[in-house]
Amino acid sequence: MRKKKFSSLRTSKYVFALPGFCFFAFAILIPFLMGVNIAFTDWNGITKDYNYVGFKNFIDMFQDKRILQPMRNTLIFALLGVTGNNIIALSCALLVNQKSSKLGSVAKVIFFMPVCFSAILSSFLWGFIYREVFSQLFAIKNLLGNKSLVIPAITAIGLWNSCGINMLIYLSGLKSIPTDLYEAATVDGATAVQKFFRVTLPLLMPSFSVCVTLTLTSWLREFAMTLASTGGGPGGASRTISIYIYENLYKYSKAGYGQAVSLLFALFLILIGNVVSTFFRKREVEL
Amino acid sequence: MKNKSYARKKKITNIAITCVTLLVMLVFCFPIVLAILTSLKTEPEIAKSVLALPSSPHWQNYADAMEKSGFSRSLVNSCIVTFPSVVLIVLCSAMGGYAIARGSSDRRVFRYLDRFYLASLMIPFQILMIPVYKVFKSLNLQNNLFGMILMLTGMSIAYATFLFVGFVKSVPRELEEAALIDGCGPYRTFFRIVFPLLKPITATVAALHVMWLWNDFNVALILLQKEEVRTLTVKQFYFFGQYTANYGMAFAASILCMMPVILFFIGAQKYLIEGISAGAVKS
Amino acid sequence: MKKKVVATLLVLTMAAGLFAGCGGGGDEKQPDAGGAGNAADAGAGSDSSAGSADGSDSAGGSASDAGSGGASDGKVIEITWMHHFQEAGIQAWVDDIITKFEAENPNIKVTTEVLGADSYDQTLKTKIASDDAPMIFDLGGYAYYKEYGDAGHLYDLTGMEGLSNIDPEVLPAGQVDGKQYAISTDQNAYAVFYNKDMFEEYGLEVPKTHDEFIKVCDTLLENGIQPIAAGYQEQWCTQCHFDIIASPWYGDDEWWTKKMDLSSSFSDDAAWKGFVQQFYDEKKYWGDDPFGTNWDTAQNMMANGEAAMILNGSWTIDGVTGKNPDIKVGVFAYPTTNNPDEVTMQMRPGNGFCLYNSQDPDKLEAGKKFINFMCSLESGQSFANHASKLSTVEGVDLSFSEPLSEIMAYEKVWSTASVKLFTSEYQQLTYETLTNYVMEDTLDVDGLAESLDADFAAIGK
Repeated sequence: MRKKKFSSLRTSKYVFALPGFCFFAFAILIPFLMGVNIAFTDWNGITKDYNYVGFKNFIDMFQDKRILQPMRNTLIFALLGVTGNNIIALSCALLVNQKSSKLGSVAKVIFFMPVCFSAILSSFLWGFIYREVFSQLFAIKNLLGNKSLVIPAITAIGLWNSCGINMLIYLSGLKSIPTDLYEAATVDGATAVQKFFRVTLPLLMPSFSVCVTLTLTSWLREFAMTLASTGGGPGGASRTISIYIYENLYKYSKAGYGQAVSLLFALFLILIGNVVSTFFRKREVEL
Repeated sequence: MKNKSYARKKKITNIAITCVTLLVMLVFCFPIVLAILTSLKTEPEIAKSVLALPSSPHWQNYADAMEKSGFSRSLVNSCIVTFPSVVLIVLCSAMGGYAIARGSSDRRVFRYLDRFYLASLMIPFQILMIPVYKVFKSLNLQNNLFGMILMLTGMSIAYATFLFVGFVKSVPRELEEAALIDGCGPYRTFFRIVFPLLKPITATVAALHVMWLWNDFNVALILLQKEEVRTLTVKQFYFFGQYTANYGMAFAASILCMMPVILFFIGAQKYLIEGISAGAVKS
Repeated sequence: MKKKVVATLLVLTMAAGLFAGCGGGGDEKQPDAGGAGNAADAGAGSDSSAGSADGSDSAGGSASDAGSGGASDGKVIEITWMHHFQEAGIQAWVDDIITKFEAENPNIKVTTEVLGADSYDQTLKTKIASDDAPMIFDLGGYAYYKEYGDAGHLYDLTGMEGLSNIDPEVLPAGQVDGKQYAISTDQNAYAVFYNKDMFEEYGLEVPKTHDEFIKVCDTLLENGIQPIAAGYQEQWCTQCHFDIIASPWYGDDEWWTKKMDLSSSFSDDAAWKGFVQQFYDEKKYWGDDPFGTNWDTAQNMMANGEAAMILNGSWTIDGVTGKNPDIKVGVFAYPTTNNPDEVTMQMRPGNGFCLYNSQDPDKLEAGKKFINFMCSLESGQSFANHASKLSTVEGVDLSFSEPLSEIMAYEKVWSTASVKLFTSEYQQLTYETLTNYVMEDTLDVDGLAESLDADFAAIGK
C-alpha cells in the first residue's frame, strides 16, 4: 500500500513535467537539433544543398580577428547590464516594499511600466530622447553617435526597459520572507543594516540566482535593442556577438559559419549560466 | 526623550525614502510622459520644443494612428495570441517547476531537465529561425494564430519553469507531506495545496509573460506575415518605418499599442498584491 | 478527484496535440490537392512552351491564353509579391499596378507581403530555405543575383517581352553570366541635393569645380547655415556620400572586384587615399554631430532650412519635399575634380525585381505576366508619378518634376549598371572601418588602408 503510493508519487512528477516539456521540444529542442548540422557545412543560406566541411568553421573562428570587438562589446554590455540591473532592481524592490511608504503600490506600477515597452519601441523612444531632448536640455551630442559612450547609452535603455522584471522577482522574494524572522532579529537588537545583510540577503538567494543568471545570459545575448538603436554602430562600436552571428547568417551568406559561432557561443553561455546558477543555488537556504 | 528622538529619526528616514522613491519614479516616468506629451502635439509644436506642453491636446494623432494602423483587427489578434499562451505557460510551468524542485533531490532526470531548460535559455534565437519556419511550413501552421500560440508557449516554458523552481524550493514541504499522509493523491495535493501557495510567483510569471508575449517581435515576424494575422506589435513596427517623420502619430500609435498591457497590469496589480499576501508563508 | 484532474489534463494536452496535427493536416491537404491539380493542368502547356525555347514570347502568349481559359473554370492563381517599400509614394505605385494588373487578368490574384527593410533579407532567406518563397521579390545587386541565381532560385528572364521596354543600358545590372536574373525598373542618381531658395538667397551658383564647391560650403558656413545635412549615424548614408565623391573616379569598373580578389590593395591606391582625404577634409561642413544624426533628422534639417545640401540618392527629393512641400529642391553632380568638363552624374540602378523559379508552372506563368506588366510604360509612368523617382522604362515623361529633369539633363553619366560592387560583407567592413577612421580627430589614411587590406585578406581566405 505504502509502496504503491510512493510509486504513484514518483510517476506524478513525470506527468507534471511532461506537458511543458512537449511544448518546449516542439518550439526549441527539435528546431535546434534540426539546425545543428549546418554548423559543419559551407551552406550560404540559400542553396538547396551544401557540403560538409567538418570543423573548418570552428577553426576559422579562432582566426577571425573581426570577432574580437563584438566579444569585447558583449562582455562590457553584460558587466554593465548585470550590475546595473540587479542593483537598481533590488533597490526599487526595497523601496516598494517599505511599509512606511504609501507610495509603494504606485511606485511599483511606475517602475514596472517601462517593461510594457517592446525593445524596439524603447529604442525608438530613447533614440528620440538622446537625439532631441538631451541636446535641448543639456546641449550634449547624441550619445548613440559616440564610440566610447554608445554601449553605456544602450545599456541605459535596457535597464530602463527591463529593471521592472527583476524588481518584481525580488519583490516576491522579499514578500515571502517570514516576518517573524525580522521580529526575532529586532528582539535580538539587530540594526536595519544587520537585518538586511543577515536576514534579507541570505533569504533572497533564490531570487538572486534567478535574476543574476537570467540577466547575465540575456545581456550576453543582447541583440534587438542594439540592432534597433544603432545597428551595431558607429563604426562597429556597439556590435555584439548576437549581431555578428545574425550578420553572418543573413547578410554575409555564411550561414554555416554563423551557425558554428552561435553553437560555440551557446555552449559558452551554458557554461557561464551553469557556473553562476550553481554558485547562487549552493547558497540558497531552504526553509 | 530617547523615544522621541527615535520617532524623529524614523520620520526623517521615511521622508528620505519617500523623496528617493519619488526621484526614481520621476526617472522611470520621464520617457513615458514625454511620449504622451509628444503624442498630443502637432508637428510644428514638436519641431519648436520637445519639452513644452501642447497648447491644446491634439487628439487627431490618435485618430490617425488608429485608422492608419488597422488597430482593432491587430488588437484582437494580439489578445488571441497572448492570453491563451499565458494560461498554458502558467499551468505547464507551475507543474514542471514543482516536479523539478521536488523531484531533483532524488531523481537525476529532473536535475538534468532543470539544467536543460536553463541551457536552452542561452540559445540565440537567430539560429532557430530557419528550422522553426521549416517545421511550421510542414505543418502548414504559418500565418496561423493557433500555431503562434504553440510557438510562444514552447519558447516561454523554460524561463517560466526556471522561475517556478526557485520559488517552490522556498515553500516548506510540511504542508504537502501532511496532505500526502492524509491520503490526498499527488495531483490533488498539487492543485489543492501547492498551487495556491505559488500564487505570488504565478502572478509574477503571468504578468511578465503578458508583457513579453504582447511585445513579441521575433516570432511574430517570421510566423505571421499576412496582414490579417499580424499582431499589434508587428503592425506597429511597420507603422514606424512608414511614419518615422511624424513623431506625434508614431508616439500615439505606440501608446495605443501599450495601453492594453498597462491596463492589464494595473488591473492585475490588485491580484498580485492579494496573491502575495495570501501566499506569504508563515512557518 | 485525482483521476479527474489527470484525465482533464491529459485530454487537454492531447487535444492541443491533436489540434496541431489535425489543423495542420487538414489545412495542408486542401491546397495540396489543388496544387496537384494545377500542376497537372498546366503541365502540358508549359511543356509545349519549353519546346520552343527561344520563341518564348509566343509560347508565353499561348500558355497564358490557356491560363485565362482556365479562369472560366473559376480557378484563380495566387502569387505573392514580397517587398519592403515603406515610402507612401512607392506603396501607392504598388497598389496602383496590382489593381490594374488584376483588372486585366481576372484569374490572377497578387497578394503583397510588406516587410521592414531590416527584416527583409532575413525573411526572404527563411522563406526560400523553407520552400515558401514569394513569386516576386527584389534583390540588391549583382552579388545577390549571383548567389540566388546559382542556387537555382531565380528564373532566367531573358527574352521576356517586357525587357524591350527597359533602358538597354540598365539591363546589364540584372545579368549574371549571360542570364537575366533581375530587372531594375528604377534607378537613382547619387548626387548633391540642395535648397534652391537658399542658394539664391546667398547668391550661390551650382558649383562646377571642387574649389567652387568648397567656396559654396564656406559661404553657407559664414552665414550660420550648416552646408551639408549628414545623417551618418546610419552607415549607408556615409557610404552614399563617399561613393558620390569617389566611385566614378577610380577609372576602372573592375575596381571593386580587384579589391575583393586581392589583386589590388588599398595601401597602393593613391587615388582612393586622395578621396578619403577629400571626404575627411569636408567633415567640417557636416554640422557638429554627424554621427549622432540619423537619416530622418538629416532630411528634416534640410527641409526646415537648417542645412543647405544633402549628398545621397535621388529618393532625397521625395523625402525632403514630403517633410516640407514648399521647399524647392535642386540637383547637381558633385564636382570631385577642378576640371568643369569632368563633372559626372552618377546613376545606380535600383534593386532588381526577380521571379522565383517556381516548380508550379501556373504560378511561374502568372509571375512572368506580372513582371512584364511591371516593365510596361503604364507601370513606369505610375512609378515616376507616385514615387517621384526615375523609372528605367523608356518613354516615361518626367517633365512634371524639376529635379528629376535636372538629373536627366546631365550628359556625362557614370552608371553602376555593369559594375560588380562589393558584396555585403566587404561593403559593411569597408564603410565601417572608414567611419571609424573618419570619426577621429586626425585622419590616418595609411592606417585605414592597412587595416582594410588585412581584413580583406582575412575574408578572402
